[in-house]
Amino acid sequence: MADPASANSRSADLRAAALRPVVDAGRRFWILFAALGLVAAVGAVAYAWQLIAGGLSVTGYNDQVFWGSYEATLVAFIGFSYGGALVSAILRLTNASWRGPISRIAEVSALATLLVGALFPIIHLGHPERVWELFVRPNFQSPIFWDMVAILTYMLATLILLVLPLIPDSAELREHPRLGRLHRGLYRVLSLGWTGTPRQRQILNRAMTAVAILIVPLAVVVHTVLSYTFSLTSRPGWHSTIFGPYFVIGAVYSGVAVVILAALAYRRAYHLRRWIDDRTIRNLAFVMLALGVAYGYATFSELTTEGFVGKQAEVELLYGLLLERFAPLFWAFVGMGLLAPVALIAIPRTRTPRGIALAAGLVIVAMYLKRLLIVVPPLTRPVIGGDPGLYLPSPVEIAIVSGAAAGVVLIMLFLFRFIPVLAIDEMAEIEQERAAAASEGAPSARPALDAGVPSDG
Amino acid sequence: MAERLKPSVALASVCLSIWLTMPAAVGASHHGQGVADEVTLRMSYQQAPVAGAHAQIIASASLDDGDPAVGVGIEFLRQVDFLGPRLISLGSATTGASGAARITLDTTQGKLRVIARVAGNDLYLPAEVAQEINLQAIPDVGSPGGPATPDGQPNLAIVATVMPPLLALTAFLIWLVLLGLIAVTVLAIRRGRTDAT
Repeated sequence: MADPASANSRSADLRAAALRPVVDAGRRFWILFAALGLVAAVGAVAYAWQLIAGGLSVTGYNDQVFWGSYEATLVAFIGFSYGGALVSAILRLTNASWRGPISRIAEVSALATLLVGALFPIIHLGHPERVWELFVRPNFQSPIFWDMVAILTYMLATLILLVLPLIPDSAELREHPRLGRLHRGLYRVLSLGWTGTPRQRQILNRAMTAVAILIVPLAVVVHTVLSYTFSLTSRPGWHSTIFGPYFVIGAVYSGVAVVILAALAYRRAYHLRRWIDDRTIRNLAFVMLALGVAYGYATFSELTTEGFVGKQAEVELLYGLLLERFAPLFWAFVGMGLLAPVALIAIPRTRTPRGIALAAGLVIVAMYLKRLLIVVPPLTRPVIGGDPGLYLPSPVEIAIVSGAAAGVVLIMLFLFRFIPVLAIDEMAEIEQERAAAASEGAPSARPALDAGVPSDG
Repeated sequence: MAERLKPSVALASVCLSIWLTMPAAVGASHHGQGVADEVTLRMSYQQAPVAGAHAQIIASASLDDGDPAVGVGIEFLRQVDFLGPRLISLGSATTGASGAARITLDTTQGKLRVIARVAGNDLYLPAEVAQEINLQAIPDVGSPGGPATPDGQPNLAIVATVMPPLLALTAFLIWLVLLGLIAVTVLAIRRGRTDAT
């Protein structure tokens, strides 16, 4: 059984590690913050230019290809969010003991990607000032309206999923000597008078379980409703019953990749290896591996279903995708998004943090490409005559999308300047449970958090 | 040396001759000659006249003497090469008085290899013709009218009427649960801070 002095010291170490981005961001943080801020500012200027210079005419959109990078970004970012929320919720529901170090990062990445992704339907609007009309004059027959409802509902649930575990952490930190008045005041408000009584703990656990249960179907709903935007049309290439689950699997796959990259980045930048250990990263990588195989199968299934029935329009699209116009992009997706990540994780020699980071990075890029391949090729094939459509994202679009990507990282950096990067209370609770199990002679699921793991750095 | 036929061989010969003459007895051909007619197929296509309309493929069936073959069932197939070369059915039609059968394509442009095929029956021998079709893009000069609602379709208006309120109610309930959950949790945690049990 762990002696109380060592437990207290470990607890103090954990608090200090969790607060590193808050109290000791470092010079590199501010350089990164400024660089990302610049990219985001360029994106904002590009959006302002889009509004001033005549709306979507400054994009690569045209009469035939009327959706493109904005819709791909919407689907991609909300997918990233979904992965973060599901990782946190499912690991909590299954009481996975390795969830502690990554749950906060997963929750924050879910919220950040959702906040930015949800802007893209508005960015696409020629008259964004009319967005309020969605609320006052809703068109109940439109999937777009239900998209908005689903995304807002999911946003509320994601926010609750992030805030509830912060209550005990805030109580831990409200009197922390290294924190300024602003932080301590914020934590005092967020802690809601938490004293850690059994009754409070019971209430909090119940609430967190309820939100975790709710968020799983909610996230499925959000992503299937998002797929309806495509599949409820009769356009060949979009009208597909597999799109719902296909979008859901793709979302979790890319979302887990975002969580892995964010966890590895914070681990490296703030020397958190003692807490976010290799085993945690490997477990996440295995989840990503399984999802990668599932997504590969779903891709095969979608293409085979369309190709085998051989409806003329779909066969033409398939040829375009596999052999002709879009083949370089499609095979790049297969290589970068399916084969390479699966191989990097499956082969023990490459299953290192660096290899896993590479795999996660490839998945993020390739899955964005895949979203473009879902949106654009069906639109380039005219359904009522005319020449095949062409689409190339304009510099304005590229600036806006890059600014949005920078915005996601900025939001994460900003939030972690105020909230601890590790779920302190949750990790302490898991460790207590493990210590209790060890003292009762039950086999431990895993060595203690700091056992056999190199020290910080 | 003359040999007498065995009775079993003689019976078999009679049966064979009856079987061979049966088609003529059961069905009469175009020429009344008792054998199925040979059909010659030709294929052509009509480009869609305007954007939004569809191209048509026409197969014309004629007999040896040039007369149109009437009432011949023709199947139209498209050759594709996905997971190996295969034939995909485009539809089928029966020739009219002019010997022509036509189907409408849902492809608007591009090259496709189409095969028209007569399966063959008692009246007509099997026949087949293949042709490359190259559909040109039609410039879009205006918005065509929407498709007419076919008669006899089930009325799904009830879905459009009932679904939105049901979905709205579901969304409202989820919001209520989430907001209620956070409110109840906040209040309960505040109340539970002095509870030491």
